[in-house]
Amino acid sequence: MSNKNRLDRRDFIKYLSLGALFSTIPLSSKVSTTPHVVVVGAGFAGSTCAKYLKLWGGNSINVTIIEPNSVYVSPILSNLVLNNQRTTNQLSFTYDKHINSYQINMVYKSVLNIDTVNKELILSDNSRVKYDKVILAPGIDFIKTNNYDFTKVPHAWIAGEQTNILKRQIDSMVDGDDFVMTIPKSPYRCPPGPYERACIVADYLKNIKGFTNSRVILLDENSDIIVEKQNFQNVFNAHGVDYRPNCKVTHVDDTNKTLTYTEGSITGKTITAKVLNVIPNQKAAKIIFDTGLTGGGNFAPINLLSYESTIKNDIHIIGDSHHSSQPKAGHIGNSEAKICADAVLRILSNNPLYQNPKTNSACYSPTSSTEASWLNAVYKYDAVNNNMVLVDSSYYPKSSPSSTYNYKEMFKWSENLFADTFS
Amino acid sequence: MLYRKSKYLLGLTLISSFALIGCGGGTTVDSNPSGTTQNVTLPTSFSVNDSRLLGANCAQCHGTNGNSVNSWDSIAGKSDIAEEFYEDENALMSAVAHGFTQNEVNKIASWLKTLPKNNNSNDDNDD
Ligand SMILES: Cc1cc2nc3c(=O)[nH]c(=O)nc-3n(C[C@H](O)[C@H](O)[C@H](O)COP(=O)(O)OP(=O)(O)OC[C@H]3O[C@@H](n4cnc5c(N)ncnc54)[C@H](O)[C@@H]3O)c2cc1C
Repeated sequence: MSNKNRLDRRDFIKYLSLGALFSTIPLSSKVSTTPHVVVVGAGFAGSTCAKYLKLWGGNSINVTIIEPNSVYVSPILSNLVLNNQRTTNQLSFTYDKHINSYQINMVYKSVLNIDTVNKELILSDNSRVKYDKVILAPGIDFIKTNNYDFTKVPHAWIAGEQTNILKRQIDSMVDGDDFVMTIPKSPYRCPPGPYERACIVADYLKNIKGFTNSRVILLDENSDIIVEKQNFQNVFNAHGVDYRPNCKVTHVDDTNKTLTYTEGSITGKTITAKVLNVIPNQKAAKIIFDTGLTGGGNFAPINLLSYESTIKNDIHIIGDSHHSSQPKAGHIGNSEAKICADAVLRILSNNPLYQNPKTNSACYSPTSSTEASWLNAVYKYDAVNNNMVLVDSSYYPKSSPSSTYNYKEMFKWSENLFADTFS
Repeated sequence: MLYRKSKYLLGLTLISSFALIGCGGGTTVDSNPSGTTQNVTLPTSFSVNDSRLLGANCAQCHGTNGNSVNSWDSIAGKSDIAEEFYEDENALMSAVAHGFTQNEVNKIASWLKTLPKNNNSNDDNDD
C-alpha cells in the first residue's frame, strides 16, 4: 500500500485528536472537520441510509458509499422477469441522484475488512478509507450444502445475472420437463418470495406456455408455508404446485441436476429435474463475518435504537445482515435505514437516541401475470429484549389475497419505494 | 483549522471524486425521480425531529417528504392527515395505520403540514 494513500503518522495523530474533540461537538457548530460517514453496500438499506443522512444531516456530514456495482438490480419484482412481465433492465438503478442531488461520494469497490483501531476501511485494492461512522448494508450470503455451480443451479435470490440465468433455463423447458425449487429454513430474505416464485413459474408454464405435463415441485425446509398460508395454498391448488414441507436439501449435483434431500425422518431421497432452483439457507454477507460482527450467530446483533453493533463501536448494520425479529426485506430495510441515519446524526451531534422507533414492512407478491397479494406489518421497539416486535401480534402480519387490483397497485407501491430509495 | 481540514481530507485522496461540501448556505438540488423538478434544500446542520423520523415511515408509499411519484397520494403539505389516517378505505393504508398511536399520528401530521408540495406530484385520492 502506498503511503500516499494514508495519513502519515503525525497527521494521523492530529486527526485522532481532532476526531476525539469534534465527536463531542454538535454538528451545527460548524467545526472544520466534517464527520465522515461511510455506507458499505448500496441496495435497499444502504441507498436509503446514505440519502437520508444527507437529506437530514446536509452539509454537516460527508457521506461516502462503497459499492462494487455501478448498477443495482432490484430483487423486488424480479420474479416478474421469469414470466416476461419485467426485464432486469427495468429493475435496474444507478446512483446518479445520490451523487448529483445528495452530494454523496461513490466509490465502486468492495470492502474487505475494517481496521477498527485506526477506524479505516480496507478496500478490495488494499486502499484505505477513514471513517467516523460506518454503516454496513451488504445484504446476504448463502450457506451451500456442497460446492456446486450457481450458474448451473441458480438461486436467483440476488437479482441480476442470476435472474436471467434462471429465466433462460425455464425458457429452455419443453412440455413434460419438471421444475424443482427449494425454500430455505427461515430466516431468509423475503419470507413470501419463494412461494411467490413457485406460483409465478407454475402459472407461466401452465397458462402462458400451455404445458400440461410439466410439474412444479416445491421442497420447503420449513414445516409449513410460513406466511400468507391460505392465499398460497389456493394459488398452489389453482396452478398445480406440488408443495412438500419438511424437505431439507443435503446435496446438489449440478451436472445431473439431481437433489438429495431429507423429507421428515426419511433421508437420502433424490429428485432430478430439467431445472433446479435451489434457494440455499442464508446468513449475513461475508464482510459481516470477516469483521467479526456476528457473535457466533448467522446475523449481526445490534442495538435496535441505533443499529450499532453490540460487538464493535461505530459500526452500524442495517438490512438483511442484521439480527432482529424484523423480516429480511427491502421495504423494511428502507425503514431501518432511516432509523439508523437519524441515530448516527444524533450520536454525531451529541443528542439522545429516539426511544420509540417504528418500522413497517410491505411485500407485494405477484402470483401470476395478472394477480398479486400483499403482506404488511408494523414493528415497535421492545426495550426489555432490545428487539423490534409486532405492534399488535393479534393483528399483524396483515395480508390481502391475490387479486388483479393488488397486481396494479403493486407497481404504484414499487415506484414510490424505488424512488424513496434510489432517487 | 483549514490546514487541519485539508490534512484530514488527505486521508481520503484515494477517492478522486470526493466532493468537498462547503459549510455555507443550504444546497439546492433536484431530487425528483420522475424527471420533473423538485427542489430539496440540504440543511446546513442536523436538527433532531422525532415527528420527521416517524413520518419517514410514510415515504415508501407516499414518496420522499410526502411527494408521490405516481397516482398514489402525495401527503406533503396536507393539513387533514390526522383526521383521515384511520379512516382510509385503502386496505394496505388501513393495515399500516393500525400500527401507529393517535399521538404518533398527530406528530406525523404536524410534520407533514410543514412540507412543501411538489407541483408535479399527485394529491388526489385515486382509490
Ligand atoms: C424474488 C424476491 C422478491 C422480493 N420482494 C420483496 C418485496 O415485495 N418487499 C420487500 O420489502 N422485499 C422484497 N424482497 C427482499 C429484498 O429484495 C431484500 O430484502 C433487500 O434487497 C435487502 O436489502 P439490503 O440492502 O439488506 O441488501 P441488498 O439489496 O442485497 O444490497 C446489498 C448491497 O451490498 C453490496 N455489498 C455486499 N458486500 C459488500 C462489500 N463487502 N463491500 C461493498 N459492498 C458490498 C452488494 O453489492 C449490494 O449492492 C424480495 C427479494 C426477492 C429475492
